[in-house]
Parts: sequence; C-alpha cells; structure tokens
Amino acid sequence: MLKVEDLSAEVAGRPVVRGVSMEIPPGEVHALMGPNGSGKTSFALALMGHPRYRVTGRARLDGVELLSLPPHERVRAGLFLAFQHPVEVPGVTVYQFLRAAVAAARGREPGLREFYGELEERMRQLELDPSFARRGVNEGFSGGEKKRHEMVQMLLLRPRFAFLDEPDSGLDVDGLKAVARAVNSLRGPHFSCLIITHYPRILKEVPPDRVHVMVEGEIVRSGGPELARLIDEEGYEWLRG
Amino acid sequence: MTDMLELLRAREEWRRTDLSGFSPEGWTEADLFLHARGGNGLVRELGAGEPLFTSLFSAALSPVEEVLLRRAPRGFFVSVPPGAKVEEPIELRYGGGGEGSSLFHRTAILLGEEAEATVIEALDFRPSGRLWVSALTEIRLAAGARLTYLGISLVWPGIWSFWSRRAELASGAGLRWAVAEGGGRLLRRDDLVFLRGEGSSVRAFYLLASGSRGSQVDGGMTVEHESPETVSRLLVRGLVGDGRVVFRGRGRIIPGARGASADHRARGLLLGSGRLDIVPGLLIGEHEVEASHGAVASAPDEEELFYLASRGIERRQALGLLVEGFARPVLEMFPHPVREEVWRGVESSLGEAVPGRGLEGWTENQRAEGDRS
Repeated sequence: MLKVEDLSAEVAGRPVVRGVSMEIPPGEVHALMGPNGSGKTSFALALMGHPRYRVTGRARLDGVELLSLPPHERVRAGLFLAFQHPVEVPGVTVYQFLRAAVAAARGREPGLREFYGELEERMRQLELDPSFARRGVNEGFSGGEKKRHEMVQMLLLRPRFAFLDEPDSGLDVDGLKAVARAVNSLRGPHFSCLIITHYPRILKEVPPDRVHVMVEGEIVRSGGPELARLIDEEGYEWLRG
Repeated sequence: MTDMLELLRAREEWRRTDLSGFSPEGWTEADLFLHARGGNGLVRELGAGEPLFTSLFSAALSPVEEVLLRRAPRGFFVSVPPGAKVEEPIELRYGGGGEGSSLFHRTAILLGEEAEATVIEALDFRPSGRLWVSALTEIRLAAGARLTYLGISLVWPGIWSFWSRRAELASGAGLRWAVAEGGGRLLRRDDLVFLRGEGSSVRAFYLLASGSRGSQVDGGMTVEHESPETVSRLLVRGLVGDGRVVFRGRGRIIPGARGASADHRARGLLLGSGRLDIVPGLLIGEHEVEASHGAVASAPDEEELFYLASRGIERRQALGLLVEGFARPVLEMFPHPVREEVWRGVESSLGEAVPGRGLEGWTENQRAEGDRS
C-alpha cells in the first residue's frame, strides 16, 4: 500500500504540489491525469527523492517511511519511477547499469549468465534488440526505445509500486501495446502503480481501478475509470476553480 | 643545470607547469629496467649513446629534451619491415630506480611502407619515493603504414616525469594514439606529430587523471598539418580530483595543406577541489580546410546521478559508473588485459575521488560485454 498524506513539494520556493493525500492499495492501478504543468511529474519525482524538491508531509510504502530515505533506499523499499524523459548517461552501458541496479535491488550480484539471460528475455519481451545492452544508457535511443527501456528496467527490478510517468508518449501503437503488456504482466496482489498520463489511450490497454485529476498541484477530483472517459470528452476546463 | 628551470619558466608553454620543488640536481642515476614482450625479432635494445632518428628532435627543443638528447640513454628500437602486419601488441616497459634516483630512456619506432603494428609503451616503476624520469619517443611511419601507439604512465606519487614524443607520418600513413596519464608529482608531456605526407592522419585520445592535491598532469599535443588532405582528431578526457590537469592542444595547418581537417575536443570531469586548464589553439594558414575545437568541463551531472539512484544505485557507486563512462572512449583503445591495468592506475591516481565499485566489477562487466560482442 502506498499511502501519501498531505504531501507538498516546492522547487526554489515555488509550490508545485499542494497537500496531496492518496492511498493506492496493493494490486490496484491508479491513473493521475491533469493538464500540462499541473504538478503530476513533480509529485512522482518528489516521492522518488529528486534533490531539487523540498518536500513536506508523509509517504509510506507498505509501512516504510519514504521521505527520510535517500532515493536509492526508496528503490530498495520497493518504489520505481519510469521517467517521462529518461536521462542519457554517456559511456555507461545498459548492461553495466542494469547489472548494478539488479545487484542493488536483490542485495547480491547476479551471475553473468543468469543475468544476461534474464536481460535478453526482458528485452525481447519489450521488442528491443538485445544489442541495446552494449549501448550507452539511453544514448541515441529514440523516444519509443527509451520508454521500452524503462519497462525493461521495471521488469528486472520487480518493484512493489511504480510511477509510470507518461509511458505512452512517443510510442507508436505496437510500442504502446508492448508497454501495456509489460505493466499488465506485473499486475497482481504484490504490485500497484500510478500511471501519469494526459490521454486515455494507455488506460484502454491498462484499465485503472481509480482515476485522480491534478490541477495546479492539487487533487481536484477522484473517481472510477469513467472519470478518464469524461476527461477525454470534456477536457479539464470544467475541473478548474 | 639549475639554468634549465629558469629557461623552462621563461617559456609560455611551461607557464602552467608547477616546477616548484623540482631541481635537476642531487639525483643519482639508477639502472634502467627494460622489458619487452611480443614483436618477435622486431625489437632490440638501444645502447647508451647510440644515435637514432634524432632529426625529429633537431628543432624547437626544450631544455629537458636537450639534456636527454645529449645523454642518448638506453631504450628500445622497434623496426617493422615494409608490408609486415604484426598481430600481437608489442609491449615495452621501463622501470627501476629508488628514492632520489633519476632514470632516462628513449624509444624509437619505425614502420616500413604499408606495415602495421600496435606498440604499448609503459612506465612501470615500483613505489620508491622521489624519482625523476625523463624520456624521448620517436616514431616514423613510412607511406601507408598503420601504427596504434598506446602510452601508459600511471605512476606513484613522488615521481617527476618529463616525456617528449615526436612522430612523423609519410603519405597515407595512419597513427592511432591513446595515452593514459595519472599520479606522480608532475607528469609533463610534450607530444608533436608531423603530418608530412598527403592523406596522413592521426587520431589521438588522452585520459589524464589527477587526484591528490599538489599533483599535476600536464599534457600537450601539437599536430603540424604539412600536406593536403591530412587529418587530425584529438579527444581529451580529464579527470580532476584535488590535483591539477593541464592540456595544451594545438593544430597548425600550413599554407598549401588544402583539404586538411582538424577537430580537437576536450572534456573535463571535476570531482574535487582541483583545477583543469584546457588550452586549445588552431593556427590556420590555408583557406580550404576544416578546423574546429571545443572544450567543456563540469562536475558530475546531478540528473544522471539521480537517474542511477532511482534504480537503487547508491551515490558513490553511481559516481564511479559516471567516471568509468566518461573515461570509456579512451579506455576502449587499450586491449585486454592492459585496459584493466590502465583503469586500475586511473583509479589509483584519483584515490578517493573515484568511489566506484572498483576494477573487479568493471573488468567483469567489460569481459562479459566483450564476450558477447
């Protein structure tokens, strides 16, 4: 269970998330929608521990207090963030990066053959050529390849909770379906996630249990999947003010 | 000999070189340890006083180089006959010395027409306190020859090292050049490549690491484009902990060298309180050429560190990965297992500034990647 209470975040003294409370029980998929600049990405980054944010409030994952932990320990507590704009890390190969990440998550260095076999399988699952393992992290990747790579990472790290920040942007139909399959493959009593999106198309592939709408850093409406359909038809204007 | 220091200090290209604490007097010349591997029958020892290609060092000499030329110390001569293709790298190592001793050596490498070889030249000194090491390397490539030259001086603190390398390329010859330098009290390098023949080219990579306060790695390469269609590519990676890295990259394209192309790039990664000086220069005497240079230095990128942290990698290890990634374009020039030796030396030069997972993990990863490539 991810339980967020009265969470606020600011960047350089400017509030970007204001008093957000949210509960996402195990096994559930929630969606966070909202217009551009409404604070959705900031909410995820703040909970992940990005150093740019000054955060107040409480956040617990399965009872573990998150806000006092450095980012890498939040991951070990079971948190994951699929980035909207995955960062390029020149010179560090995907193989090297993921092996270090898996070792950190599992508390032991995976064997070479075991790890490479698993990595290859996950890459094929996301329709990424295994030769990507030898490239620099996100270096020269297309938008769609970056999104698939984020999903490969999620599958390898097996988090208990994932923020998926616009996992559908920059993807063609096949890419969208591959990403959706990856998320759906994790669905179950030990996994929950929050999909951040502008559009309902990903939500057709990964149906949410609940939908929240954020405007100017606040949750202004929560409801069932029908809320996403309503936003698709009416936009966000009726939710402002 | 003390005049030597005065003469050096008067030169602009030595202005950034910290010679304080160094004196050319009071050293005991020690026996040089020479070790060569590979190059069956192509390598012979040079005796003291034996003359060789010194025409490359006939002009624009620094006082340090003049001292060495007068001594004509022992060293190695590698001669690859025309058309020969040497598969196995030829490894030349220089060592020896003890506290307060001086060592001088030289290397000459000659490749005949269309010959191909890889030569690794390494300083291999055991920990021994204060040591003065000076060296000359001369390289001559005949038409169409291809040489990969790999220079390694990753040394212990307390070493004062001055090394000058000069290369001359005939038409169509190609020189791939990678140098890793780190540690020591002062490593001063003066490299000069003459692209004499039409279509000759040099691709040079430098990895310079200075970790501890008071240490300085001071490198420089000058490329003289003397013929049409000559090409120089220079890539420098400077890792700066609490020490100082200086790099002087110069290119000169003379009138008549039409179609010459020079691109010189330098990047610095600042890991501590040290200092990086990148001094680029291009002198262009011909219109129909392409010439560019760029330099950038920064601390490790916080967004990259956060991305790695968001995958459970703690900050120190993440920093180590970034440093490896930064050095990779140069490291990859070195074959296994020399590459591991280089990385170990770089880590050692940087000390606490490289808080990575250590060589073992890196090596294992590289081998795994190599096995699958």
